[in-house]
Amino acid sequence: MSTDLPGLAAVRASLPGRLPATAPLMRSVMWALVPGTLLSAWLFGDGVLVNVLLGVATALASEALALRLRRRPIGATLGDGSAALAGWLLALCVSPTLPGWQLALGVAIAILLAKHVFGGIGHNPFNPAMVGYAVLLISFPQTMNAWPERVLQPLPGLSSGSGGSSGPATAPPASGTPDWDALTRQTPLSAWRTARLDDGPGLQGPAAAPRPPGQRPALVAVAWLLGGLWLLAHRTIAWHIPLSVLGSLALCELVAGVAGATTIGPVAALFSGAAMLGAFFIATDPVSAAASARGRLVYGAGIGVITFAIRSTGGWPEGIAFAVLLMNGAVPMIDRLSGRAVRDERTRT
Amino acid sequence: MNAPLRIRGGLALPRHKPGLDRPILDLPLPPVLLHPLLGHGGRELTPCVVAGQRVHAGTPLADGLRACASGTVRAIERHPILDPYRRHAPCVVIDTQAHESSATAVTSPIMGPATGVIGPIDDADAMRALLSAGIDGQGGAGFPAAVKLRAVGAVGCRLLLINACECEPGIACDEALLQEASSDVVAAIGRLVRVLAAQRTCIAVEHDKRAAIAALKGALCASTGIETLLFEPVYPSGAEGPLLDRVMNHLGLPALPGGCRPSDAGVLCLNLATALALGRALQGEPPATRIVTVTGQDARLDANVRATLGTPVGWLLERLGHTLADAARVRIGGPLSGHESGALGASITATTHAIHLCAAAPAPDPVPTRPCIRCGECAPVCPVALQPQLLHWHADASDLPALRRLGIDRCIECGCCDVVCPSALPLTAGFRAARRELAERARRTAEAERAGVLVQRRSARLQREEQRREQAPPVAARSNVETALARVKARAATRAQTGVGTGATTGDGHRSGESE
Repeated sequence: MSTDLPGLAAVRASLPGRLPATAPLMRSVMWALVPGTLLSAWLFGDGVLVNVLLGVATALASEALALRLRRRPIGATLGDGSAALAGWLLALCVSPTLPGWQLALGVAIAILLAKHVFGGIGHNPFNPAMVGYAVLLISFPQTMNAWPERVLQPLPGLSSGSGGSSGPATAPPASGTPDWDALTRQTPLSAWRTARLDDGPGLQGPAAAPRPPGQRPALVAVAWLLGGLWLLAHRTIAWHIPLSVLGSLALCELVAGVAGATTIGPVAALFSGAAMLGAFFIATDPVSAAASARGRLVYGAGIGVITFAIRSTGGWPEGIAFAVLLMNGAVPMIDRLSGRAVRDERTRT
Repeated sequence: MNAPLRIRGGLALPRHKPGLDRPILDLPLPPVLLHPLLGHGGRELTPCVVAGQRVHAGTPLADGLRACASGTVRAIERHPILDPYRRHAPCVVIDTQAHESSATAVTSPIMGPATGVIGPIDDADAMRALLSAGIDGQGGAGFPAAVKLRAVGAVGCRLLLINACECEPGIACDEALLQEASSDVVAAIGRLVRVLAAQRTCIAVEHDKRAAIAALKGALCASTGIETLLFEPVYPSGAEGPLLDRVMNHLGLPALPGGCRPSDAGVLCLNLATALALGRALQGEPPATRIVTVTGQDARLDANVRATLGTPVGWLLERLGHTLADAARVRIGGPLSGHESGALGASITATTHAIHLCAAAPAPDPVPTRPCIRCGECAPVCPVALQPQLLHWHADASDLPALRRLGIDRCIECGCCDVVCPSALPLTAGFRAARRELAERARRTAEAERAGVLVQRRSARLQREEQRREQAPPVAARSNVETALARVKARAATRAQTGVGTGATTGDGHRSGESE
């Protein structure tokens, strides 16, 4: 205990390396994103890397502009990494073939409108990256839903594997967008969805058979899972939100399957779409999530249920983004209902 | 001996207990003692002594405040005090030089002869001695022991918990006391147990105080029925609420009801030094001293000293060999629960656990403050299961109803959330301000209600008088005046005859006329 630092500073100084801080927290999240990002670039094309670089650069520029306009110190806030992380996450959510100006617009909206209009870091009620994603999805549905054909190709060396059923040869024809169909393919989730809608409500026949996720997206999902587990192990994020998101999504799939509906099954549901990325990296954004541990369980479970609902009955191929945004809107209520301390909550030996 | 218990939340801070390597230093009586006229919660006390009056150890100075040594009241005037909330308060200044020689010889006239330990204690007398001893708790809050004792006396003592947990770095007064005087402490506890008829008695102490526990074991050999509960050295296990919650849970006793003090449920939790002071009060000794951990720039001067309550801080520091620079400031209490004070002229009170002399100007916190990102690190360390991140949000917005709904009344201001906050937010300071604001509003509301009742009574009375005046015929009123005048004339006539004094009777006549 140093004598020239009385009070709180002395206590902080006596606990070196054991206290959390904002900037290292964001840096750890970015480190956890690196393997999945590199894997996506290898499997989906170099467009992923270009998107990430563009997203981060736009995010930093927008953040600097907003801080300048708001007359706030630029260096310290820009260095905390929150803006760069938002740009990175949004870039990972969109197709590698998305035009660069559209991505830049989405990131700028995320930082300027979703974050700084509400007061900057710590004050945004909605996840900025997901706001940007939703704006892009609604504004540019064609480019946002167009994924390169190689996304669905089987992995080299594994072409005779069991996952080959989702290959382009057996995928149902996409409806509506013949121009883009020539260039790109649907993701497994959207392919499954299109087949389901084409077949009508009966969900019968071989075309409606549940499809496992493509090998490449599933492999990337494994990378997100490993990155998320690393974050959990380093206590950068808490287990409540990932567990409740994935748990409730899998449970919904399981119940739907048992009840007789045609589903892709709990495991496939977790490894398709943005479920893993969303559960570990997007829904865990503490600013827009519920504040208490109990509230976070409710918040995550809500995301899982809404994701399942949108995937199976909604008009969009993937539901994580809207689920996160809807639950962001529910956070004040969740906080109000779950924030009260329980008198008889005690530790056990 | 149990496996160490752990309170909810809290922080395992590095052990830093200054001055334990040498015995407790007994300080002589300072030339001047200052007793702030402040009760628990900042209530100002009305002195019952006047300047120039001679006092003895034990003489009441105000309600709940007794002189700690003999002397002469020099003055009652404003002085700096050691208080996180206010800098000055009226104090009774006692000059001890005049009576030092006779100080020890005088026994307290209020407490009567020493009760002693031999022979049966008359419970009623003993309880009366305890209640009138004017002992403030030497734990964190300085809560008057008499209030707790009265409540426990009314419902019966289910559990007496002696709190020897002292987990904050830089404070070692209770540990020093236990290490050095555990037999005195155990004897005092034994006396208390007999007076209170406590069904169960425990001493809670952290397991890393090895020397103190060894001394306690030795002292407990003789007496039975006192259990030792070991605790993990986690800050703030010395706080009454979290400690009692864990102890009740461990002993299999029903949880304490919320909304009332533990003493109302028959559970008495006393700080170690308070228990010793109460035990001594049973023997007729007035509360006089407390042990203070004194640290400064020079670690060689670190010590635990036994000082008379009311000893000025500056005098104490100089006596120990510290050099007081012009810019000298002192920190009272520990690094987390304490507060800084520039007042070297202020005097130590029952709650002055530690004095840390800092020479330099306050160093800025190296971590810059950022906005809250609701990371939630503060929630698991909160020992009373609050959600500091939500409290902070509402405290920023001054949303007092929301703060009350979230349980800010139960915040013990331990500062654990401040330590772990990655944004370095002054959370506890905000909560303290909000709690003060809430308390102030509650006080104002109560005052307004009291005033409202008075106004209602007054208007009702005025209405009654109005009605009476309306019912009585106006002639009667004039006749009243006439009869009074007639009476005065008659009395004047009598007076003229007998020659009795004048003033009083005329006054009587006027008064009766007015009152009717």
